[in-house]
Amino acid sequence: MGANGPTILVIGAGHGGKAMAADLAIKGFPVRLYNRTYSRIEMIALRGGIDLEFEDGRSQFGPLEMVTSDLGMALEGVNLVMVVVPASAHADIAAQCAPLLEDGQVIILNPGRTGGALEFRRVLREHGCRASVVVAEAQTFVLSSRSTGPAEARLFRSKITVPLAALPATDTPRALEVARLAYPQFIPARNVLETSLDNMGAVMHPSLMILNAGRIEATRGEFQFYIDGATPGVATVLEQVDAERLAVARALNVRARSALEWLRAAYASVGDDLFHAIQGTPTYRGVAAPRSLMHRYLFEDVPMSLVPMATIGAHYGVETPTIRAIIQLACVLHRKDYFAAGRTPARLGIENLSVQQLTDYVEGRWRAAPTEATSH
Amino acid sequence: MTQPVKVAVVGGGNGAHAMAGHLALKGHTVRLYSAFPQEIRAMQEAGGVFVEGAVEGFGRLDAISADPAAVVPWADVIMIVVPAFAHRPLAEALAPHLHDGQVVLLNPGRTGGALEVVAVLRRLGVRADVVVGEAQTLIYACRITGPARVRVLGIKRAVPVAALPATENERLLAKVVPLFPEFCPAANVLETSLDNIGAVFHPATMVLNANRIEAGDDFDFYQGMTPMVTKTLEAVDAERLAVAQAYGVATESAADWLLKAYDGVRGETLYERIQSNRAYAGIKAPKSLNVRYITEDVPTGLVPIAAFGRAAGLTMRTCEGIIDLCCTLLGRDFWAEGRSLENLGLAGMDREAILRYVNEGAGV
Repeated sequence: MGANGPTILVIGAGHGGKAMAADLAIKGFPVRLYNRTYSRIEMIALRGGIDLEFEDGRSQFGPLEMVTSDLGMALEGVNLVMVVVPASAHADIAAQCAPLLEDGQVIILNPGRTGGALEFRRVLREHGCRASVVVAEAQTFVLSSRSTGPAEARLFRSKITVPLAALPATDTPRALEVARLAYPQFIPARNVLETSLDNMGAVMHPSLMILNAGRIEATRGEFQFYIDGATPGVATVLEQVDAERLAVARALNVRARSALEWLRAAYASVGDDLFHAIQGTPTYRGVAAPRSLMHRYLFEDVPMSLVPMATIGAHYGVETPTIRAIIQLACVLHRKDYFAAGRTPARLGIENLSVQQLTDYVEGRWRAAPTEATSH
Repeated sequence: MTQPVKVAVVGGGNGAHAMAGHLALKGHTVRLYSAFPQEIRAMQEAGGVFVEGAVEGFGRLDAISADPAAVVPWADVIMIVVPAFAHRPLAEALAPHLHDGQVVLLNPGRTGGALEVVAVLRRLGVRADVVVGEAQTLIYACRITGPARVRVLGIKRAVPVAALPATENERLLAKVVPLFPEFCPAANVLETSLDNIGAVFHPATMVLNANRIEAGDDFDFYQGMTPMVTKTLEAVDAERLAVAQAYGVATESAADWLLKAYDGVRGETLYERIQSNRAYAGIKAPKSLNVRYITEDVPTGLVPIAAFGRAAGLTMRTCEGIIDLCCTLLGRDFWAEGRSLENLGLAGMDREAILRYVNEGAGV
């Protein structure tokens, strides 16, 4: 680590990656930005950095040490790798990183959705990665941000706390040691099953999209996604999805928080049930609905969050009919088989593990790697 | 007209008003029974039904009662004109009053109506030799326009009917064609049951517009059938068609049905055909989820369609997804309440056994 702290590579130049790269650069860290498609970062490379606009309207330039589409160059000598891409790209990123990683590097998925670190580890293993690295996942993205131009981004706010866990959990202190230099908001989660199952986007986003499908299409999203979108019956479905998620967590001996508890803790929401709590969440006021059903709330959250919950649930004997119903309707709307495209126990490399073995694996008590997953 | 028939019309809604009045105007002797006194009070005061529209006149009824004993034992033909979710309790109410030689026809049966009624009669140990059948649809487009007054907007040209088992089709037709020459034979009750277009259109549109409906948005129901919503309707329909095919039932897609059923429908896709159907203009979306588009079309439409599909080894994921979400939205277990194989008297049967039961009866 240099005098200015860890050298940080941000992978992905979307809404989150650009803001994070600029934010970290402004904080004084040496920062690199990698994006697979160079045209997406060409302006940033030309300008040598990104303009970041803050909530108060103030704007500051974040100078980047390197802007590249060459992953080998990007990874060389960095201490911390912040992966800020849709979860559906995690497996590809892992495959490309596998031969390039160096001992001691810390990789954090921002966020992992459900099973990000498990999948990343499985792909590294399958690609024969020999480097001793830390792989961790954040429970949510640490910033609220938006890309506002080719080399511009806007930062709305940073979250107050973001749970983070490494796989195995014995690596979590090492992950936090480096990650907290960048974002002190990171706090330890028990293990990656906890970060993976405390996935509130999975509870909220797809169900709201499906039960508001007609309205989103008819109005092009001209309504408040949470406040108007979560009518009482709709909130009942969210509660049912949440109950099924909690049942999966219980089966894996993970203490997950209910969506209601999470809303109260994260947003100081007021209300005795999910409907009233959502209505009583000031942060949700004014948050517009997506303008189209072709949105990551479905094409990311369904395969990367709901599918692993449903298939892990089935694997360990928990039925999730409401989650499956939402997945199925997303499959129909997008004409895509998300059950096949999504994260399943096999894709996470855990299909041969009992609950006890899975727990031992994520906790780092089980030394042997799980039986190699047969990819499909 | 040949011979006046003694007909009991059971029900007190739009369809029952139209059918009772119309049959009386045709010269038949008609009595009407409804379990709900408030539905029949105006007719009792008038002594019949004023019919207007495609049929005009006052249909005088022989009796109008909330007591089945005053109506049912007397009748040769019993025309049931109630929502399909009422078929089961109604069958229980009628059971003690049935006797040999009567014909009971469900107008319509939705999916599995005759099967469910026969299952109830068997469970209650009814020994009477009664023919139970179902019509594929209600013969009228009609609505009540005032006390004891109904407007008949149209009479369908052909309405398939079938008995359970199909060996009784002849006896059924012999009794009901004299009432309505529009009745024509279907092969069996699976044919009348699987042409349930309402089950395709209504619940999925309700689920995918659940929020708008709960919020009380003012929009025409067909406007809720946006392009992506219509994709879901197509997926439900594809599963329904696969079930029909598995049971050897001739049916057509919802898109083709639209073309045939309405004038002026254009376009290639289901979406275009729905949007071009002028008959849909002005039909408002409900303001609540607790309406027949779910409470009838799920338990007596999608649930039995899914059950028939599973019994034939088909995957019915989209139907099941819609059913599961309706259960959650309304806090009810439509799987248990609805026409499951158990409730249809088909517990444990596979496709072949169901076909045998439907075509030849339980005794074979």
